[in-house]
Amino acid sequence: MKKIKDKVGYLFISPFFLVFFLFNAYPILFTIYLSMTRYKGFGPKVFIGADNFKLLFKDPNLVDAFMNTIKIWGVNIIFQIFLALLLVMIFSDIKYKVKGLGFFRVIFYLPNLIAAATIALIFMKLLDKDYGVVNQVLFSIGWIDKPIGWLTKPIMAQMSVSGIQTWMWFGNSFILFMASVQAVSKEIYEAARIDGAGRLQVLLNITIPSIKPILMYVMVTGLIGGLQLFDIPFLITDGKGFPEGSLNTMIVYIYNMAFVHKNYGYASALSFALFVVIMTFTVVFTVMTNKKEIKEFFNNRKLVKARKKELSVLKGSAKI
Amino acid sequence: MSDLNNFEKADDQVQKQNIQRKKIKNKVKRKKALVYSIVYLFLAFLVVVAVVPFWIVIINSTRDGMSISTQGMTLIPGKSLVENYKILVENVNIGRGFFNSLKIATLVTILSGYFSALTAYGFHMYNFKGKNFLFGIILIFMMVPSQLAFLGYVKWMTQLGLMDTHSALIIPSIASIGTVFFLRAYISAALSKEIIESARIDGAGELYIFHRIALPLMAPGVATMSIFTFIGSWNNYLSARVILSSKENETLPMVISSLKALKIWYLNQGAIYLGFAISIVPIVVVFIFASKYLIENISAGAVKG
Amino acid sequence: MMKKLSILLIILMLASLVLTACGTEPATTTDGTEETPNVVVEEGKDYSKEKLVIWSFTDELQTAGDIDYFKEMYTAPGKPFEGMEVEFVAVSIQDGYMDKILPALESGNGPDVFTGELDQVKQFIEAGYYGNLEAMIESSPDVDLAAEKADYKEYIWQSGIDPATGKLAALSWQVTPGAIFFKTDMATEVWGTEAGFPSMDTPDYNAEVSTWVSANKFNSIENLLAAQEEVKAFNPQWRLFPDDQAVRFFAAGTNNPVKWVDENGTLNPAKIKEQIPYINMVGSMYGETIETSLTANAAEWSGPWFDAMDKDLTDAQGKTWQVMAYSMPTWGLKYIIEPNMEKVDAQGNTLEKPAEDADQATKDAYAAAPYKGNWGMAVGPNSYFWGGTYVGINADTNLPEAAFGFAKSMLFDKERLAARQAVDSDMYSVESVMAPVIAQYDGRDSLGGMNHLQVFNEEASKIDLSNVTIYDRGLNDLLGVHITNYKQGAAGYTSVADTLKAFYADVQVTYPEIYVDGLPTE
Repeated sequence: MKKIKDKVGYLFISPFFLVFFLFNAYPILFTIYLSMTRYKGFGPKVFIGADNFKLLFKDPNLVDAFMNTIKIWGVNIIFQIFLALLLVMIFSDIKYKVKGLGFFRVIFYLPNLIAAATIALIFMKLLDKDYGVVNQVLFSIGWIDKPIGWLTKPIMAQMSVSGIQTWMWFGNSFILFMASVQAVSKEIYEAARIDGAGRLQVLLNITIPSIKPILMYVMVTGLIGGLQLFDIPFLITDGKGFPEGSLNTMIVYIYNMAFVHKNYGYASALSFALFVVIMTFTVVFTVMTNKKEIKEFFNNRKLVKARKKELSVLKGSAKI
Repeated sequence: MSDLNNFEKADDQVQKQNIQRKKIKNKVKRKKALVYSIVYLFLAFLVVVAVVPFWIVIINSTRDGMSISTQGMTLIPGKSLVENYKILVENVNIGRGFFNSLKIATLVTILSGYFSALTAYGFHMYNFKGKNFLFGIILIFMMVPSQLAFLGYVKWMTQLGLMDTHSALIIPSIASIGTVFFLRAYISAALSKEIIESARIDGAGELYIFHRIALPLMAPGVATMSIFTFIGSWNNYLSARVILSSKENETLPMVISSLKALKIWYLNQGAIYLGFAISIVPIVVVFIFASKYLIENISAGAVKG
Repeated sequence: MMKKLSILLIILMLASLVLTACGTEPATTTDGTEETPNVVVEEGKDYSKEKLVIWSFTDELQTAGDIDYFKEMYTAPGKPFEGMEVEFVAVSIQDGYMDKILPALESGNGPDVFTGELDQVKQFIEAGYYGNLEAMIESSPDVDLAAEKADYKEYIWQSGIDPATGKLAALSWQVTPGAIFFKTDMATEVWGTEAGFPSMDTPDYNAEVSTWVSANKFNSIENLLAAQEEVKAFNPQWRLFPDDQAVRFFAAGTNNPVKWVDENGTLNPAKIKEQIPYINMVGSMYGETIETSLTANAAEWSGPWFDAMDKDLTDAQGKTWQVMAYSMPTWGLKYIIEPNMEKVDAQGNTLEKPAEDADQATKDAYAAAPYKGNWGMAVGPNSYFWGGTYVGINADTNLPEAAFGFAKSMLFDKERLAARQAVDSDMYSVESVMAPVIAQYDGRDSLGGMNHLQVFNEEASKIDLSNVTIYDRGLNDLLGVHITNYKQGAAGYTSVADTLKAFYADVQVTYPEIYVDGLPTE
């Protein structure tokens, strides 16, 4: 009776696995296969082995795309974390009870909800060199006497995208940080205050350590998200990654390689390279945040081994 | 006399102390007020930063193109909303895009919620052979970024004849790895095996038990994930752009991004802004109703992580 | 300032309207309505259950009335494809026309008829998506293949041939040669004293100056660069071109360009050598500020770019600049330059352009006023073309006879083409349509009475596209990126050699099948 019931489990999970193999696992294998071919997206697929992967090491754009991502991410993450930490300090202060956390969380999260495609277009309008609202305002208050090319100068374009990313994500980071801080008991903060610790000390000794794992999480997911950035740079630059390739991110590059230059094979190899980079970051992150658990795991194994050895020695001696 | 004098002196001192205390108190009060006002001013500033682009979009969607380009920014709505709408729908079929996005996002959300619950329940309740292996596969693939599958997926859809169909975007949601993973964790807290066992003893069928007992118990977890699924699908651009080709299948983000290529992009900015507004407002409304759920869930993720 | 820019924008928008739709009014059909076209029809097929799908990257087929004309002639009651539905889809290039149509074609759900610009057409042909148009013409009862081939401009016919079969796969009714339009009064001041320069009292002055400038100043890359320096030397506030986009058509510098990919199927070293003078020229032309630049740094389609056509450019510091010349094709004169040319009153004084909110009478009066007539039309180091819409038929269409019916109404219905031309006064690639128009033409007022159609016609005849490969667009795009980096002095770009090396690195990964080591770097 029980055995039959358990077999029903297969029925429950079969739709998932059917679709999973057809629409997820198979396409991944197919991409990996394509990465070993020369294929234009139509016509024959010529198997060429590892040739596409050899090209990866000769590709200057790969490094550029990666560096662009690091720059866009770096500036974004600094401002994002600074803002989020400042907000956490404000809302976790013991002396000053700032009200309206619920309201502010909702408002600050709002930019994260909108389609990146829409955001890209909105900011193209707002940051337009000749007709954008931002330059209009700067003109009218007399801060500038010639229009700023927010999206047409390489550095400015990268910084603009960083700014948009910060705008989209600081609320999310704030919510994450705040939740971690709230998980720390109030008494610790009280005790620190009674000990006469300053705000900076509280921040450095209590707040930051308590949010360290989530801080790492925000940084790494931000980086991975940055590597996968597509909608905003693609739409802002008409898909070209200009000016001077400063907005050429990995996905934009892969998209153009496959759909514009019709080199599916190499585009697939690029996808694989991106996968390797992301996996590396994920693994490094997992190891760094779970150092203790991993140590424990290995210690346990050592202990178990030692124990086994002991036992076998004991057994051996018992035999004698 | 001297006593009295002393008394007076003491009184005097107390008074002086009181005054000093009051002064300090006042000082503290004043400092407090100053800090509060600085803090709230800063928060107000951030609120403005977070909201002002939306505000500009909404205000400008009511103004005519000429006044936007000549008079710049203003906080007062104009009177051209209807006119802008007419221009917008003359140029793009935003209603169709809206409907398509709604259709896809709704179906994706329902399929993802239902089948993820089914799968999570299957993994939780039954001890079939290879269970751990299969769940291990899910765990491994959770780490693989979707981009690795993308090009193969596009070509595979071409071979299956699913290019330019909404099915190509909807069907894969039956296998939502992240949702299954989340619901499996949720289920072990929300569902006791005893309830299921007692239902079995009463002679209820397995699927009946799932639909009548397990699913309602999992509903809050499914609902939380559904909000994320819906927003994600509603905002999806890349795969929709690549998979869909004909005008009648276009989703809202595709329609919005096509505004850039239109003659009205510079000429009738009001209509363009109205297009933005139409794509923003529904999601904001969904969010306002669901914000508590959503933020609690993000927060819960933080504490666990 | 803002207002002025917005007016310019409206002009820009009109321009882009032109880019997407060369004719805005539907050409009214002539008396041809009564006759029924002679086409092959599949016997026993109920066309009222069928749908012919047509895709294009412009909405011109709609706005110029081509779809309506086809319906009237072919699907109306009593016509060969009676009751057939016709669906027209326009997806602009920026909107991802190719991204959308390629998957549709590959999955077999492609449109029955679809258009493209030349480089897209090359891709369609290579992938085998266009059917054999030539065979359809041959089997058509009333279209004479040899006669049509003779009637069409050679480069247009040549460019639509499928190299795999040697047969025609796509064809365009348009021909879009380009020229360099310039202000004759400025040219006279700069070069008027040089030998052979026509004297002011020459009867056909604008045409004569144009010929002289074409032969002496614009005839090679080296001279084109020297001409820019001479203009700047003559008057430090004057520039020949608004920006370096104006010289991109002359990258080859010759009417017999070599192929990007040679007969071995690899990147052609000779092509690189051919591009080097152009790269050098673009490098020399660039300057961060207008003072240091050989151009006015007014990007194509920007407000200042339009502005400089009829007035001084004013920069942020209040300095004024003047621009002499623009590179534009056929449609550019009518829709881009002429609306921005100076107009004069009866005494020859320049008229003030009416403001946006001026009353209709003022605007009408301005529209009716004559041009100053201070523009000429010269030709550059090589003939070039810009734009053009080709029509082809899906190789897998279920409705080949109906699809050919549409192609026929677009390409071989000469009466219809003549009527269409009369409305949009565009250059057509069909000799029998254009010859009478050119012969009767009494010159363009804006060009001082010059017969510019004749020049365009000659330029079109000189264009040779037999050396265009499917890689041209991709390689030109890639090289363009690096030339931009080079001229702007981006990190790592100090010489032409650096530029070419960076370009090769891109080619190596993007088109590994044509890359070879040891390509020239100077």
